[in-house]
Amino acid sequence: MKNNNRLNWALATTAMALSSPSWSASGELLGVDYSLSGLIRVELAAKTVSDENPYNQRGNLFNGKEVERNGGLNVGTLLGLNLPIPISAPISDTATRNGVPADNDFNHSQVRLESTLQLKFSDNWSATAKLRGIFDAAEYDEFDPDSVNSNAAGYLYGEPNYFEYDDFENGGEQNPLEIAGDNYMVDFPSLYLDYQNGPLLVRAGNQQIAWGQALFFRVFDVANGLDLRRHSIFDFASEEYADERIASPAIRVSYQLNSNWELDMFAQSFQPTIYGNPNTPYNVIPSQFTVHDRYSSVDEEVNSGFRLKGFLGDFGLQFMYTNRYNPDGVVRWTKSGVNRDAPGLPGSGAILAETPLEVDPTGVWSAEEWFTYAGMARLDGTEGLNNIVTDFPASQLLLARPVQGIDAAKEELDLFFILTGGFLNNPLSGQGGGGLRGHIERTYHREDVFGTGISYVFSGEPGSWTDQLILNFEVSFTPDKTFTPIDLGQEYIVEDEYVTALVLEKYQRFSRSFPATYMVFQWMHRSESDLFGRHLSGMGGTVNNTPKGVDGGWNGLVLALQQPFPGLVWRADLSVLYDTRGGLFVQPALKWKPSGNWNIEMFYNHMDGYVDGANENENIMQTVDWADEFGLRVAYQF
Amino acid sequence: MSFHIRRFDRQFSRREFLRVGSGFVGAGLLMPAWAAMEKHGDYAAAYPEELLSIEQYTGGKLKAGDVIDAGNVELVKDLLEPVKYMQVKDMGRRLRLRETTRDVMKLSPWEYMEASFRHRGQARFDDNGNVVTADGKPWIGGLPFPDAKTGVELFAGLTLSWGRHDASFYAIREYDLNRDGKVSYGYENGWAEYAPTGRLVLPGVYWKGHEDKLRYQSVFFTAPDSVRGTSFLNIWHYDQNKFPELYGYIPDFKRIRRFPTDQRFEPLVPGSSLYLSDAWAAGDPLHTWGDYKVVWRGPMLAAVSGGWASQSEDWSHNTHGGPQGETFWDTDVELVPEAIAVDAKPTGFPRAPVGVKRVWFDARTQLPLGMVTFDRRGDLFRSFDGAYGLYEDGDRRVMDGKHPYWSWCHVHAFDVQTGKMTRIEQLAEISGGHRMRVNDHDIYNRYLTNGALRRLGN
Repeated sequence: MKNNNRLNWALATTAMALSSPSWSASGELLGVDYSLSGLIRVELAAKTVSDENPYNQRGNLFNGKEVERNGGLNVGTLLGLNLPIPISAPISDTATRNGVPADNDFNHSQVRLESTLQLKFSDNWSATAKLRGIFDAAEYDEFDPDSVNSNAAGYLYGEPNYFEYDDFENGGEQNPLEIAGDNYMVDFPSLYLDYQNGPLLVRAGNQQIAWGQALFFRVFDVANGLDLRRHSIFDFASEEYADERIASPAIRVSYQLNSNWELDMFAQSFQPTIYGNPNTPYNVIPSQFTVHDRYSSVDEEVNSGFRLKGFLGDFGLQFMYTNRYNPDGVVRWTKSGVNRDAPGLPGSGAILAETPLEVDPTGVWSAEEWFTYAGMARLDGTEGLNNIVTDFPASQLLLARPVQGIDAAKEELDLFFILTGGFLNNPLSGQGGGGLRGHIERTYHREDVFGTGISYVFSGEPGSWTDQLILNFEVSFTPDKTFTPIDLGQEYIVEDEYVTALVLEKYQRFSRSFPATYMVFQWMHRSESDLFGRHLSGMGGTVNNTPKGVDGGWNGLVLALQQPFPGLVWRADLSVLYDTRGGLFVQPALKWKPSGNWNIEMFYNHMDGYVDGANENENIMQTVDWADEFGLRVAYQF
Repeated sequence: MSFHIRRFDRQFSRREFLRVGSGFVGAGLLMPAWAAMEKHGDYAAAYPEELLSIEQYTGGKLKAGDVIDAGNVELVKDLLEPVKYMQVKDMGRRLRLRETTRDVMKLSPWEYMEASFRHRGQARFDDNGNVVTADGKPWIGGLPFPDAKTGVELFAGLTLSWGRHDASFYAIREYDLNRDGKVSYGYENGWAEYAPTGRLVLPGVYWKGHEDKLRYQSVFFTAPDSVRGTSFLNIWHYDQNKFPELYGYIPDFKRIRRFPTDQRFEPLVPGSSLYLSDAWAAGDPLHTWGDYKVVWRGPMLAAVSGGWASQSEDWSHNTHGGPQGETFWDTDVELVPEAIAVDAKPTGFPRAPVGVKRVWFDARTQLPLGMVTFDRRGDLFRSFDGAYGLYEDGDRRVMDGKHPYWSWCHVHAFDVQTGKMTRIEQLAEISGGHRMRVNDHDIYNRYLTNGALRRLGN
């Protein structure tokens, strides 16, 4: 149900805030210089296509779609024999997923308050506190578990919760400086104390740390994870990860060694990347999964690193080393622990509790759905099934056996879905229910990241394309990096990974009456995973085939343009990201500053995962290409 | 009854300026101004009396304390840059007259003027067009060419040292007005300058390890929220054929990035009429401009003294004029006996919107008194005029070592073609507790390193 009351409340609050423009304050109090400023902003993103997020219950591609389930009890599989001819007892029915399709008008409807207090105690000591408050008006077709008779386990798998995320059982927050509820959050993106003495700067407290020249492509930018709960990565592109990069408690020490070289070091409490919750607008984890986040086992771990940056002649150089827990984490099957019998199968709940499966209509209903979503999630549906069987022996009590090939897997899966869908209650109906949720655990792994970079500024004829052209090349190497196994087995993929970025930046003036156009071109190459960190061996899976994987690494190209208008009151931006396997993201944008207090930003997000005959599930845009939208942000600053 | 017999009448100075104007041979009409100052401790010997007093110049029609407005501006039309004249005549600008300052040591930082005398005659251009000493080392401070004979010599001095201190931190408030005279945008920013060469107060003429640099300069914004924490650091090479290195901290990026630096004709923030290129009328490396030409000499009314708003605790200035009464700073002007106008072209910026800039220098101190720019069609484009002064008024003063602080006080930047005005003023302090500082080495660490930019960001 659309929550108009909440939207009205948010708009009323905003209107009240706008009528009080005198919040700005600066001065001296008890010998401490202070300044306080901030903004209040309404953020909307209106859908421009009818597609819904397929990873959410109400966007599931199989909602209302009748699917044939052709299960079979394969004798050879059951007995573990390789029989010369397949012998099986077929059991078939049809099933129609009972999800209620959504028809959203908005992908995003939030109100934001930010306020920054800066204190200067002395010439050496100062402090900054930035408060961020977000209210989600939830102007969406929200998932209602009662409408599908769901009783899925886990705090986040009932009605949507937009901000809590800490624990599978309890909700809550991972960051000690955050308070969150189902539609609000308040945190401190900055809360730190600075001590500066000559060339030494020490910053202690909650802070973001970012390194490197590449924008959006994170080669050196490895210190912090991303918080994708708000507008995911689809907000105003020229802000990069300003709102997403996760701050966490740290001590950072910078020392200017001489005029050319600076040493920068940090030690920071580990905070993982936060993905959008199930059934929230930008969720990217299929909501048939239940994620058990194991952060509590590493929540006292510390990431650390240093960077040395300087010049050698005309060349800029930087060297980086970071020892960290990869904030993205990896996932694999885990026991569901949910003792809920399948309809007509008394006692099955106790067995299922020892497997990664949970009986609930919000799970997967058919082999077709299983393989469709396995492909979308860059997973191997066949081996995923086999690992449930082999890694969780209790599943064999339900006659599950390892299978050979996708056809056998479909047969066994459909049998499961038929039996757990209430077949035995009414074997002659021909219409079955479903489904089975899959439980996965998210774990975190330490890794070493080594990096180096070089920069050079070209000088050419004044006004030429080569004059003041800045080139940067950055490369990082992570030995023995841990990736999500595409079969969700207990053995992770562990491989070395190289990540490189080539960055070219240029101001070019095309006319005397318009300011210069700022242009950035970037090329990123990743040897083992895509931009979202998914291993390339999981690419190319579809409903009809398991992943073929792709060779040649992942390559992405970025072209970003910024064209200010005279006076800078208006600025037009264009940001393009091209995945060379046929994925395209285009964001044209307009930024307008009509007066000192107001900022208005408009942008259009267009995603296309099938440029030039792209193969299915091989590029990153196929994961988000349902999300075309028009974004509007209106901010009043004080 | 007594009679004062003037040695030279007004026509004399006009004739003399016309005679020498096309073949510039240094400041002074009766004798070289710098020779007069060295010999007599006063530049008065270089000029006839009528150029030393507005009362004499106007035949008693105007005197110190009078206000120039639309009703009497015709009396001094010849003494004003064309845009300033238009602002008084048509836009309600008023200028209050004061006596001409006779002590040249009060027209710039004391140490700078003293070094200009001490180092007179020691500067030359090397093969690359950079100012060096006789033995080819970077310049050692003060005006390199006090007796400048060419436009490039005047600009060389201005480019070498903007604020005339070894290190300066200015706390600045900016007001951007629309054509209706309303303040549409307001900013607070800090501006830092630090000289690693040609130092007069900080230890060592050259800062060891930094001899190949001319200047470290940064600008950062503390308000409003949309730009707070944004900062840019320019590192100027001593070689004036090279563009500075430009680093920026953009709060959204949370890190310092290097930026191309050749685009210097755009405002840094929305609504502003100020470009990097406008700084001190010489915001770009000397040889990225060219065709320097002296085009005019003559007396001028300019705000070279009395710009400090000593009556205000935070040094903020009062305004007047324009549709809302807030377009112009209240400004005191005095008769400058000799100004020299120099034209220059942006030869290193083929697509710059500016075709020519004209800067008026005070012949006594080579301070820039005003600037107008013309677009590529030759139409008047933008205008700048600033006010300077000693920060001393009776028993109120701000000290810079042994002497009262001297600096700029406020600036008008007016876009003639759009009618938009940007006003900036130097304050005692801006939000965040950033206070004016001068000749303090710590300015470098606080405002001019990568770490400093990171600290100023958020």
